[in-house]
Amino acid sequence: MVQAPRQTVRLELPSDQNASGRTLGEEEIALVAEAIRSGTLTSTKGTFVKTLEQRFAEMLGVKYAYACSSGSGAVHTAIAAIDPEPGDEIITTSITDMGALTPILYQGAIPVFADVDPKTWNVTAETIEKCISDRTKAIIVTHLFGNPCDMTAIMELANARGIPVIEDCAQAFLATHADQPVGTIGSVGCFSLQQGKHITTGEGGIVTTNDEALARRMFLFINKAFGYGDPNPDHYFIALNGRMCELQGAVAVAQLSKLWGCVEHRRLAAKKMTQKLQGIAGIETPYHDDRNTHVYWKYCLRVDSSIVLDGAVGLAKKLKERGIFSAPRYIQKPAFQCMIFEQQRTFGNSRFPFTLARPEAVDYTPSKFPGTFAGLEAVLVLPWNEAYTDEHIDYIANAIREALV
Amino acid sequence: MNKLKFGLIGAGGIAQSYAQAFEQCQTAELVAVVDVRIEAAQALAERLNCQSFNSYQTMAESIELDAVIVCTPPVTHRDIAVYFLERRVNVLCEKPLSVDVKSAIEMVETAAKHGVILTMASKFRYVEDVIRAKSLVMSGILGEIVLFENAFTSRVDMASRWNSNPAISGGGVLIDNGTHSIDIMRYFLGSLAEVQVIEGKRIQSLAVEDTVRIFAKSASGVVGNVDLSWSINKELDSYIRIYGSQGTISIGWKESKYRQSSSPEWIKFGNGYNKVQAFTSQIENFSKAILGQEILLITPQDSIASVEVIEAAYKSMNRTQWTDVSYESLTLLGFATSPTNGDRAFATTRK
Repeated sequence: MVQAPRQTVRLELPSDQNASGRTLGEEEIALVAEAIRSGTLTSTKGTFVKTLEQRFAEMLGVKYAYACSSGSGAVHTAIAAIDPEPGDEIITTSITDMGALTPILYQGAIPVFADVDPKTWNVTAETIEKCISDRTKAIIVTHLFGNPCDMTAIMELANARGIPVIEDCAQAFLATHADQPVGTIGSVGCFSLQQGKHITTGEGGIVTTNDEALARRMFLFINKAFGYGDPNPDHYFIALNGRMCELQGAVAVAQLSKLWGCVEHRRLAAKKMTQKLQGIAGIETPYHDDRNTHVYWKYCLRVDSSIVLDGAVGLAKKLKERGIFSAPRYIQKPAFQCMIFEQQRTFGNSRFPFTLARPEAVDYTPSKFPGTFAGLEAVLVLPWNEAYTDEHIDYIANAIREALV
Repeated sequence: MNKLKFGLIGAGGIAQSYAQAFEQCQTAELVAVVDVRIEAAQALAERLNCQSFNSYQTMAESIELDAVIVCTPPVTHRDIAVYFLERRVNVLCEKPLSVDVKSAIEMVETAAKHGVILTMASKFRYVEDVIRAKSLVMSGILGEIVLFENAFTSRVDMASRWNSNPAISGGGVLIDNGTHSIDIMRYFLGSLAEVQVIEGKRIQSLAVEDTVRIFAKSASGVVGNVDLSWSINKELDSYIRIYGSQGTISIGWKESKYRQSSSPEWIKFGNGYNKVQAFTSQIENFSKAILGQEILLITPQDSIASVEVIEAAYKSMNRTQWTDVSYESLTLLGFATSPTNGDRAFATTRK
């Protein structure tokens, strides 16, 4: 094997936390300026958020898309639309952001954690099935890192049991499974426009559905459950104001026009990276399912700690020396090991809704989650960006090769 | 949902494309067709099951309309548009918006005064491959954009067509096909700062130019060149090529593709030019803008900027030298100018 020449010059990588790795520019400035000049900054009266919703729905081929204030808000909106009874169970993944879990508790339901496939870090039909009970109200699947879950198997299971599926697509804009865009396969899709996502408005979210009844409830939930446009409008149920404002809408419209190119760029860069990392002992490049379009929110390696000294953590340290800030173990620990679940800290001292839970539903014994622990142990999340040039890809690939070969 | 009611003024060649598009539209329906050649209006109206008229004034007096599409020769655009705008009817006007900046300003001012929408129709801005190509350009996948090339060339006998009568058309191939080119170039490069036009040999003995080459420089320093001709056919697979420091995009009639400089392979990203899709998207965007559900893809600023560039292009052709584009009309009308000039990127791509 030819060894790469040792890199001595440090290369600054574009970052999604600032302009270096974001597509924000003149288009966004022009539209925001227009929104400000219009004097209408609320989406109830303006056109930018409506434009975003129209175009997002059209892009995915769904009947309804509604913008909201955050990705967490999108998940909350989806759950509120499904309207669980207190104590109902919602199956979700053990590797996810807390923003996708707390909405379950706010709606009085119990998160039941499914294990993941350590190869993909995604939940599977098999792991979900083990969690289904007669109190299961919904299933949330997260297309982690931009790689879709096996929705064919999951939908087969969910449809057979009559359980709605919420897709968390925060990291998976334009990803597809079996030629269907994620966010259109289950009952509801949830997207995030937070700073680090494929496209951004700083904070923001979008929900999608083809179901008229769910669409109606989601629209209401985002709007304090007030029936705008109804003959005798009223506030129909408990809901907050979760709207996106026109300033964000203006940015989102401009960002949306850049999304396809952004995804294409990330995918092409990932393909090159995978080619460059072939044959290096101790790492596995991202798992590829031929039915999927992976959109590479991040590029994740599986590191074999029996070959690589100190595993993912050891490799991350060596990369950091070259200015490559990766994330070994991703979220460090499974969601159920966070304080909120361990101590059941919710509303005052009530522990609600945990007080309504079946013991099995809140049994977080580690042996129940082998895939989760193995997956987190092995994962090294590389920073990934649409601004990467061949030089950046070479730099990262050579740094990995130097660290391991 | 009640569809918006549209009238179509002019039943010539382009009206046939609109007819096909209206058959696909979700938000708009055609309720009347006007043409001074009543048999042409009747034939189209029959196909679309709507009314026909031989004058736009009669149509306006006879039926309620939300909008009209003006598909008549350019020299008539100002009068027809103003007539309807003053009646608070929204106007989608085929390119060019008008034959000169002065009349274009009057049109835009009338729309603003009466609180209705006026904008220019230019089909290529709604072609999905063009929209995807713009997304690719903005993603940085090609690096810095250096050169833009466009060609609309086709051997067509123009001797008996109105397009070659300057009293009706306002010019030759430069204003006719060139308006598309300028609009697309602005879409990709932003504001155009200077133009130079070289006229080619006149082959068809027309009173107007039948072959020209446009050179343009954008405000950000990108160079563009455009070949327009009614007298030659360059037989190119692509009508737009965009060259960046790290790759090339080719937007074609049958397929579109891009290639990064570091890779030997072209990656296909689109299936080529679909006229019905483009016209349908154009009507839908205009209709949704009327309904307050969408912002316009081509704005009044874009429309008038195109007229400004074409006017500068004709000045340049007569002088054979670089000519600045002033955009005085935008300042006069109180439009903000920016490197994007109110550009409306439009994303509707299905994987």
